[in-house]
This record gives sequence, C-alpha cells and structure tokens, in this order.
Amino acid sequence: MTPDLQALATLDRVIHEPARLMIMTVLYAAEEADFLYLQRECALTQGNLSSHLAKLENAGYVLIEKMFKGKYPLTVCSLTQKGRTAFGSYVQKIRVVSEPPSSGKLGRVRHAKSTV
Amino acid sequence: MAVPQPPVLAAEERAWNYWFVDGLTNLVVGANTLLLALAVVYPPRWPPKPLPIALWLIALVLYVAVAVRYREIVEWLKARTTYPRTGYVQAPFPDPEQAANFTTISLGANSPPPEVQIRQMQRRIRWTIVVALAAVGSLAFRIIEARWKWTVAGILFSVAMILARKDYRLSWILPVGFPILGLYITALVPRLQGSSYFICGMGLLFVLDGAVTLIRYLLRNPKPKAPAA
Repeated sequence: MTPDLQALATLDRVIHEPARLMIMTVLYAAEEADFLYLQRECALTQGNLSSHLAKLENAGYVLIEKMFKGKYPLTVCSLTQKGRTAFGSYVQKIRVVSEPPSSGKLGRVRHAKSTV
Repeated sequence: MAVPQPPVLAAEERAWNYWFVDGLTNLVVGANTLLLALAVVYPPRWPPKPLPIALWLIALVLYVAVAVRYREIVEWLKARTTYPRTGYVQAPFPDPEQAANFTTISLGANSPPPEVQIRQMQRRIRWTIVVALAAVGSLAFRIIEARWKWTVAGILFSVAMILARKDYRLSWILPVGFPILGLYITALVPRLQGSSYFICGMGLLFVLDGAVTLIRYLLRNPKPKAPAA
C-alpha cells in the first residue's frame, strides 16, 4: 500500500459516516446551531439526528447544551476544538484522493482552467 | 450566473443568510426609519409647544434606542417566531467573505478556491456600486434644486435594491416602490417636505417588505405541534 492510500485508511470513521459528515459540515460552518436547524439542514429524522449527535458527543467532537432564547428552550450544538481539528484533518486526508498535498494548488488551478 | 462552491462554504452562507429569512430585520429597520421620519417631519418650532416637543423627543429617543439595541430586538422577535419553526443558528462572522476566508484557511488551503474568489469579487463590486448609488441618491436631496431630484433618487435607490437582492432576501416591493415614491413626491408633495416624505416612504417600504417576507415565512413554516402527552 502506498503512503497516500495508507493515509486514507486512517480516515476518522466517526466523521466518515454520511449523516455525521453532514452534521459536522454544518457545525463547522456555523458557530452554533440548534437541533431543529440541524434536522432541517441535514434532512434527518429526529431519532436519527439524536443518535448521530450522541456518537459525535461521545467522541468529544460536539458539545450539546440546553439554553433559552427568550422563553423558547433550545438544544444548541457546537463543535469542540477537538471536533474542529478532527474535521480539518479529515478534509485534508480526503483531499488526497483527488489532489496530492504537494501539488494541491497546481491541481486546483488546472481544474479551474478546465472548467472555463 | 450562480457559481458553485464547496459544501462547507455553502453551509456557511446559508447560516449567514438565515438571519434574514423571516423579514424581521427589514421590519425593524423600517419601523425605526419611520421613527426617524416622525422626528424629521415634526421638528420643534418656535414658539415651543409642549405636545410637538414631547412627540419629537419620544420619536428621537425611541429611534436611538432601537438603533442601539437593534440586534437584541430582532433576536427577541426571532425567539418567538423563527426559532420554534425552523431552528436557530449563529453564523461565525458578521461578514460572509471573512467567514469564507477563515474557513478555507482553517481547512488547510492557502486561499479560497477560484470559484469562491470569483463570488467574493462579484459581491465586492456589487456592494461598491450599491453604496455609491445610495450615496449619490442621498446627495441628490441636497445638491439638485429641481423637483425631479426625488424621481432620480427613487430610481437610484431602486437600482441599489435590485443589486442588493442578490445577497439579501428582499422582495420586489423595494425596487418597485422606490421609483413610485420618487414620482409621488415629485408630483404631489410640497418642495420643503420632500426629505421627510422620502424617509417616511422608505420606512414604509421596508416595513411592507419585512411584513410580506414574514407572512410568506409563517405560511411556509407553520409552528410544529407539541407531541401529545
């Protein structure tokens, strides 16, 4: 196995699952989001989202807090520092599939030219 | 033409746009502009009378209070209308471009991908034009003496709103309403009262835009029923 393929074998399986990847993507993009927003953005059922959030929380990637906005109770989720680092590292590893890290910039420029 | 962008940046943009999804922002801006118009329409005159001065003071104090507490007021309204219906999200930065740059760099790239850079450049150009049009429209109030200045200002604001619609959720009420407002003032309003009528009309247009967006939002997103005990 080449070193690049070995890097793929070390992908974080907690994040790699599609539903959890969606949740992580939304939370990486936002400072915090509540359960309902995540449910709508990821098009997941309540039970499905709950179980995936629990797995992410157990891995230490997501922080779930109960808070109030006015009188309305919210279950607010946000990424922990560990979660942010794990997602960043996951994205960098997955990038290797299409463009080697050493020529990443070159790869992007070529792609951009081919689409013009 | 819409330029595609990576999912993380698309999610970030949606989180950022979510603040405007319900029209409450424009509703509050419009209501506050009406307060300003009230203060401009009824300035204290000599000899001073208690009622007009009290009205003017109340409008002015309310205007400043709403302007200072704008975010808290919108949040308070959202907590009662938006969050129970479609949830809550907090965008990472007030500026979407800053957010995109930060996210791209934190994900290991030196700069955003070319598609995103094109979007950012288009947005920058658009907003430079919007600000320039609004500034020229406002200057027209003071510089031009002729009555048709209101029509010109209305058209300039209308073009600015058409451009702003690409980044903000605005209905057609604003781009259509401004030229009508300009024409109305040109034709029917006494010369010295033009400014106050324009500000008042602007406030009404924003209130109307916010109200229409809010009604649409409420109709599309009914409040979920609480599960039966």
